[in-house]
Amino acid sequence: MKKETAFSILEGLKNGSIDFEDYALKRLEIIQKKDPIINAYISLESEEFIRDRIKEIKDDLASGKKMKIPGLIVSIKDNISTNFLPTTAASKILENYVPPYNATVVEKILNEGGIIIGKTNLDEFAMGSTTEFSAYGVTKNPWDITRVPGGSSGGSAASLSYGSADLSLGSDTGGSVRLPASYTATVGLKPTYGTISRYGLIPYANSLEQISPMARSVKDVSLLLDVIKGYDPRDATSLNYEYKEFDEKKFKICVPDEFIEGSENPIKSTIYNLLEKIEGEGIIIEYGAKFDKLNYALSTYYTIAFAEAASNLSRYDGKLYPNYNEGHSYREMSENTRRNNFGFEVKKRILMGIFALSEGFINDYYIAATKGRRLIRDEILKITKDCIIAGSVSPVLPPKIGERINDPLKLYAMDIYTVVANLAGVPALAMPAGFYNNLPIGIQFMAGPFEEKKLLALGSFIEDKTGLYGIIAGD
Amino acid sequence: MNVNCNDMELINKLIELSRLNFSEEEIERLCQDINKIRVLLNQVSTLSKLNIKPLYNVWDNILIPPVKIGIEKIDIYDLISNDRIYQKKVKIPWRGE
Repeated sequence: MKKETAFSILEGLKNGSIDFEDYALKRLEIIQKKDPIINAYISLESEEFIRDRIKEIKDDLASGKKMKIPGLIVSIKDNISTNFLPTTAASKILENYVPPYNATVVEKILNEGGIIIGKTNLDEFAMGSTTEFSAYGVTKNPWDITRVPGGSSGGSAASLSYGSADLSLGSDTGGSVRLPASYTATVGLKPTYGTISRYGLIPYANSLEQISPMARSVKDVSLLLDVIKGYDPRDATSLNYEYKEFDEKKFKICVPDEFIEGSENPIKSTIYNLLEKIEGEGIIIEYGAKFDKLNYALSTYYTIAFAEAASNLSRYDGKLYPNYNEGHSYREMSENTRRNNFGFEVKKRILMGIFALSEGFINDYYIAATKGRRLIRDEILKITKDCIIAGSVSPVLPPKIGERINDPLKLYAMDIYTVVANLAGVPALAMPAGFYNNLPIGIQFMAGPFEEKKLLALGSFIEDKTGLYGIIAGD
Repeated sequence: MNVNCNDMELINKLIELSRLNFSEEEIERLCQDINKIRVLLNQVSTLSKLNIKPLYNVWDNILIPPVKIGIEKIDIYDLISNDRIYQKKVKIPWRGE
């Protein structure tokens, strides 16, 4: 297995053993060779743009500017605004739309010397768990091209997995970076709600989603988190809080049955084996903890997500954004635009959101879900006061392309373990636990609010122990 | 519409409210999918009678003191560069001058 981490590349760039230009242009070559099959990218930077960017970075370094990721290659999910590449959210309605501003996280990456090589594929407006609902084609899993890479940040995960980028940004509304990380042997962290600016993120469900760092190792994720974190007055939900310091080498992990027992056997055995391997040396593991609220987590999550989606996507009426279809009245134009440019899954979710918010239904659906959310949040905060929760990321191995998208319940069930962290607002890490028949299997850890450093310390300890980091598929 | 669907009246109402439009083939799929999704969402309805305050902001009653939440106000003109403003109105690039 070929291994490459952002840290090792950064070291090479700093000591001169790796040439900035050779390295960046080699990534473009890899993309040209592999992306016609994988389809991880929706848009790409030109060779000329990259050469200019490298010159800029070198000038900054020469002038003494200290940067955290100079010369590293970053891919960005295509629902995060960039004013130098189109931002489509994988929807026809935003085809060729170039935002007039950069998202705050994009500005931070540029300021720290990152080279943004392209925008990655996703489920339309991040609504999906497989990256099959994109207007720009399905993304394939680099470990097995007959299977999905997970979603909705499947393009970002695939771009890391086949070695075209060192770091990537995804967004996580109900598991959208953790599921792809699990299916591609990469790492994804959903940070505490409010600690990463959402300014410039094309919204799907505001109260749940966070822009999230992805990489091929936990240490690399930590590096990217350090670049993008922080308070932003442009985001009304941004928090003026620091992550809690964590210097201990002791971890208490609890494994509620509900977070693992419903998984396929190879997943269960891989996770239990890993936990057995890491027990001791400062790690205490407690089995049999209870989280009985998982049985309504999925319905709570989807009710809230649909409702917020219906509200957020009402802005695409043919007036505000460039693409529209003609009509004799505002209503007709709006209907024509939305009919012709939204995919079926998006339209379905908007419809269900309108249903959950309608008079006569709102108390039984949306309001009931917000009550369920309080119960789930309070229970998770209680458990994570005492321990880090461990369990599966996904109940199933990476599904075959087309296997799950025709049955919404089968599709939504893939998110059962991941939606909880979004409902509770807490950080959650997905990282490689092992392989079964050459298919990656991930493990998820969930901690209390602002305990990212604790999660990353645990993840870093585990990846050192297993050696499962930096892996590039197919090499 | 020739689609055999128990919820057709409700679906038509929702389509109207959402300013969407579906082909006949899509309506057929929609009927099947909505039935299934409603089974899922109905699980949450059991919570509606509980005497619990709804949670809209995930950090309510958690982050203390609340003044630490970012409330710094910024003017709209700080967000937008001068070349994008004309007579105190924001120019939309794809709508021309």
